[in-house]
Parts: sequence; structure tokens; C-alpha cells
Amino acid sequence: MMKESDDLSVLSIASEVDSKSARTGWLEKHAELIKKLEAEYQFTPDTNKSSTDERYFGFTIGNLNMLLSASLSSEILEDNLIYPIPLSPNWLLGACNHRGDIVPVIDFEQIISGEKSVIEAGKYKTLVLDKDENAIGIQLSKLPSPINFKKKERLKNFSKLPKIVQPFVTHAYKKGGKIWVCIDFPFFIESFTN
Amino acid sequence: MNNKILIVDDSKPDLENLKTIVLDAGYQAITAISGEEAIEKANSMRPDLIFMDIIMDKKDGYQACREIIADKKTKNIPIIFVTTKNQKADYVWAELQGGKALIAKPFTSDQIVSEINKYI
Repeated sequence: MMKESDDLSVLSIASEVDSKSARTGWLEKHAELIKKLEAEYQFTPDTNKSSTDERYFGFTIGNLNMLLSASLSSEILEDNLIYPIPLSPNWLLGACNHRGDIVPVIDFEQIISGEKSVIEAGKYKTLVLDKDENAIGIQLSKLPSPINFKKKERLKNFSKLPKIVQPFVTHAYKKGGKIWVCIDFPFFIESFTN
Repeated sequence: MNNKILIVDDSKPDLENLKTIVLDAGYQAITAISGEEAIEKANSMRPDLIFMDIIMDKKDGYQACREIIADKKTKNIPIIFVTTKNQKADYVWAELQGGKALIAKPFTSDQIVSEINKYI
């Protein structure tokens, strides 16, 4: 659970107080104070709390915390055989059979950091993103897990992220001191394969 | 009974089989053959339970499940995956998507009725 910063806590209280006063009227005399607080913090109360939650699946590769968009097709393969492809780049681990489709499997860590990822033999899982001829596999050591963000946790500046992924970052969030990035995977992979 | 169950599968034999089990158990059956149709019918018809195939063209069962759960109007509808995918990772992944259970194909009518009884 993320701890809200102090100033935002004040704003949340102000918002709560404001919505309660709208219902009961008993805090009307404080309306001016609340308005002042809102103006001071340039805060617009969000009356629809559920709309502020953005749900993703998070996974970590190397030092990069990545997010999987809910709209992207994804499947997990376990114990799948990956067949090496001769004369292919180091980051291409090989190809696997996914319901009759040949799916390339990549070592994402090697693309980002240049270092081969270390996953214990037999412990890896393959996250298959997208479908049919666009499908691509990424080797992971752990399954992605659900993670929710508030809109206020969204980052506007991507300059601290690895340069190689910056052009492909669609969203980034900061939560619990960690930065999470949502990458346009199909675009990212296409840029490499071309 | 007036309880409605949405069955989503792009395989007609599987769809008909599930529909027969649901009707025999005394529930109303609504059908959809794609993830998109499932989202639309979940929204418009508000079923009490959804049996969802995973591997479908365009929008698959996982994507449809995520969208149904992300919508505050439909997020409380229990979703049971019914699929040929039955590796250990599939059960975990299905649960992480928000599914209540995963029934591997081929299924028996007892398995389906047992899940219906859990949620309706």
C-alpha cells in the first residue's frame, strides 16, 4: 500500500470534507477554508474514485519494472521448449511452438542492459505478448502480478529511464519508491527486428 | 430460475455443450462467440456468472476478463475460465486476471454445475 505524501493527504481530507458538506451542509461554514486549501494546492477533488485506479500487470526484468497493459493479449507458457536459431542476435533466445505458431522468444534484459539474463534452468516462464504473427515471447523468472496505480502517481518525465526504452514508454508511474514503465511492446520489438 | 449465465466460446460444439448443461441445470443461457461480444453482453445483460473460453480470435478471454473486471458496472460478475489451457501457470495466470476458477476442457457437466452452485 502506498503511503500518500503529506500534502496530498491534506488535500484528500479537504476533498472528503467538501463532499460530506455537500451532503449534510453542516460544514458549510468551512467552505471558504476548503476553497482556500484547494486553491493553494491547485487541487480538483476527484469524485469518482474508481476512475483514478489504473490496473496493470507488473514484472521486473533486470533493473526495469515493467507494466503490461490490460488491453494487450498475453499468455503464460510453462516448460515450453525454446529452439535456438543459428546466427541470430544474442538477445534472440530462439523460437517456441505456440499452438502451431512459431513465436520468437527474446531476452529483454540483454536488449536493455547488454547482459544476459540469469534464470535458473527449468524455472523460467515465457510471457507471450500479442497474437498470431505478431506474437513475441519474453522470458521471465516470475509471473507478472496485478498492480494498481492512481492517476496522481503517473510520471510526466521519462528522462531517468534507460535511453533505449524511452521512445517506447507510453506511461510511467512512481509507487513505493519504484518507477514502473508501460512500454509499447509491439512497437519496441518491431524497431529491433527491423 | 431467472439467473442468467453468459457462455463465451468461439467453438460452436463447446458453446452448445455448455449451453445444454446450463439450461438443464435450470438457468438462462446467453451466448457470445468472442471477447468483444462477451464485454458487450456483460454490460447490457448483466449475467450472474460467466463461463469464458480463453483462446479466441481478436479479443481473447483474458483481455475480456480484464475489461469486464475493470468496469465498475460489471466487476462483480464471477468469471470462470473454460479452456484447453491447463498448465499450472495457466491456473495461476487465470486467477491473476481476476477469474474465479479454471475448468480444463474436456469438462464434465458436474464440474460446470458445481461452479454454478458456488456462485449463484
